Amino acid sequence: SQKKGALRDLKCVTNNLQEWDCSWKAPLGAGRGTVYEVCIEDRPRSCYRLEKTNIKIAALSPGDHEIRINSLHDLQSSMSKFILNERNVSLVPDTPKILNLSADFSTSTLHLTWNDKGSLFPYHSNVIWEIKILRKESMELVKLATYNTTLSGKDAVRHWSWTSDMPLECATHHVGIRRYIDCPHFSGRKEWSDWSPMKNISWTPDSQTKVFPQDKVILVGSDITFCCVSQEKVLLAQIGHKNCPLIQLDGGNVAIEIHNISVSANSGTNVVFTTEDNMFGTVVFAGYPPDSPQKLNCETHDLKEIICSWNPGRPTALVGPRNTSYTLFESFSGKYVKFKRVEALTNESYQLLFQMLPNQEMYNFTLNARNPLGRSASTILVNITERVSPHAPTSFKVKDINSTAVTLSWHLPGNFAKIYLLCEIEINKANSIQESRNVTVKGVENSSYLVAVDKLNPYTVYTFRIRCSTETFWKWSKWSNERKHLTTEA
Amino acid sequence: STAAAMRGCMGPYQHLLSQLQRQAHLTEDTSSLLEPYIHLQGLNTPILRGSCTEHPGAFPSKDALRGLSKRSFLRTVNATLDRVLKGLVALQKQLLNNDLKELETARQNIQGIRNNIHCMSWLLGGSSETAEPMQTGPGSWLQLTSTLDVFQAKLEGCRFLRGYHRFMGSVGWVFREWGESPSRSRRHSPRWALHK
Repeated sequence: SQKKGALRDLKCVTNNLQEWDCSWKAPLGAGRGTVYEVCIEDRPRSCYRLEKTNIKIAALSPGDHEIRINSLHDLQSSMSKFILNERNVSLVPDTPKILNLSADFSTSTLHLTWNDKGSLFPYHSNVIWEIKILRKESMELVKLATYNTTLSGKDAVRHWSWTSDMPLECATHHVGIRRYIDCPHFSGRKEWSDWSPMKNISWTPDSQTKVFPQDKVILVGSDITFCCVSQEKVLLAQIGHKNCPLIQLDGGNVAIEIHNISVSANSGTNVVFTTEDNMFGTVVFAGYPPDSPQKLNCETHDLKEIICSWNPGRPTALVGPRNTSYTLFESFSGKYVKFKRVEALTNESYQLLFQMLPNQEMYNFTLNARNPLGRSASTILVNITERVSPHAPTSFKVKDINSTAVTLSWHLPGNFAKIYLLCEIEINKANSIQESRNVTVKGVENSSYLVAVDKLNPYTVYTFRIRCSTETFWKWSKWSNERKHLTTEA
Repeated sequence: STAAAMRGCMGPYQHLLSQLQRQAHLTEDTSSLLEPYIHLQGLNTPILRGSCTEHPGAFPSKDALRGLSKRSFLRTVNATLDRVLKGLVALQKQLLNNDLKELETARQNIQGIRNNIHCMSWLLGGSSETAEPMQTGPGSWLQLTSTLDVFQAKLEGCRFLRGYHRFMGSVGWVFREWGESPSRSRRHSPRWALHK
């Protein structure tokens, strides 16, 4: 219901749902000194006189409200009526402000913090933050990310990180942030805030290093960008023997993009940038994370020391300081032992020694493998008394008892006091079939053992040898040395 | 003791000299160590080979060596090879997976040369201990410190080996200038002057 000379385009905006900022366009011909009288019909004592074309009013309750605006100019008055409803109001959040932008150049990661000003907003609401990252002086958009949080009625400092595909040393990065409040309590239009003032970050050369990233370890098949900080014009870039197209950055800086990088040799793959007078380079190590340790086995020779062995699986192509490190952790005791093999031979069985613990037979081992590209693990639960693989018997001797019986003695290193040993005696007689007898002996600690062997023929040459295991069989030891013996005459 | 060490010295001057000449020639050959290193470290491109140049002053120059007395020369070669051995140890650490078996061969060859140098010094009358070795310039010796990144360490190793082979070539050259007898040097003999 607008007449000639009436006001136009009444618009109301709010950034906190508590206060509406309403503005209108002055009537045609309204000059300086125009006074406006704004009245909200169904709100007592709510008439305001002002000389500007906007007014802040407390948010109106849902539903239609009639607003009457009188414009008084040179004794002429003109009155306009509007129907104002929350639905016509726009929620435009405050422009956010970045608290801090920092960079971890070693990982090419930007860290952003800002205050979400939750205290200024009355309701718990979902907030969508949009973060844009621009690169170079030409402000190329390289990343547009969204990040969801909730306003909780209190201010909260928010953190967000981003790992750049390009090393941060080689180009200035600019960051801006804006937000959108998705408030369920508000029926009006919801709009994005303005972008925050941009913050930027660039690298100040602190060393001779020109090429980045330095000595990077990455997964085979990855894409990676290398760049070179240079005042001189870079003429050529190579990875290994392959030339790469140059991507111009700011100043003399350039970058190259490598896709699906292939596995490196042990010494890594060289990346080289060449100028008229100079050559700058770095090395990249493209490899694999450690395989889960395979064929993990834990046993003991002597019930004193446990030997865990395993196969590393697929070679990682990473050696030296980037090699796979192994840690054997025993969960019942909480003890662990570390294995760090700087010069790893591929596909060769690895092993670790773990000292047995008094009165502990059950061992729950986890073998953790780790290198710069990842980690893996294998576990094994053993009752170590059932995993005894004794050393070969030593000091094996034969002594006569009589013409048809002898004693066999031998030494077996190990703490077998709590178990029974099962030993196999092999008896050979010239021109006769080989005979084998099993004997069970009570284990002792680090001692010798003695058994009698009877039913032999008098005055006969026998060859004896022995090997042992445990009653709960796991593995035989190696055979002892053989002993030839002539039984006495009858 | 020195006496015991000397007992190992065999053969007359001429035999020892030709042995030293042969050893120098052997170790001068870049295929004995530098080339395998270049391939192992992925430096086998024209650009990287071009950068693999000897550090000026790291090793005595040929002219400098030629200007020394025999005993100073032996002393200088011995002292330089001692530093080369230390350099090879540093190189070994850099080569993580001990892929370069030529390194051990080189170490043994150098040890052999040093033994013969001791014998030659003894043969020339008295230990070469007294003669002052020529100080190599302040040129950067093999700096494989942990502050170097991997690429720089690779290049440093390459430049070190480049210098080592060149140095051994110069040593061989000087030994070839030595005369048939301990007292004379072919460089001072008239006939040699005619050849120049």
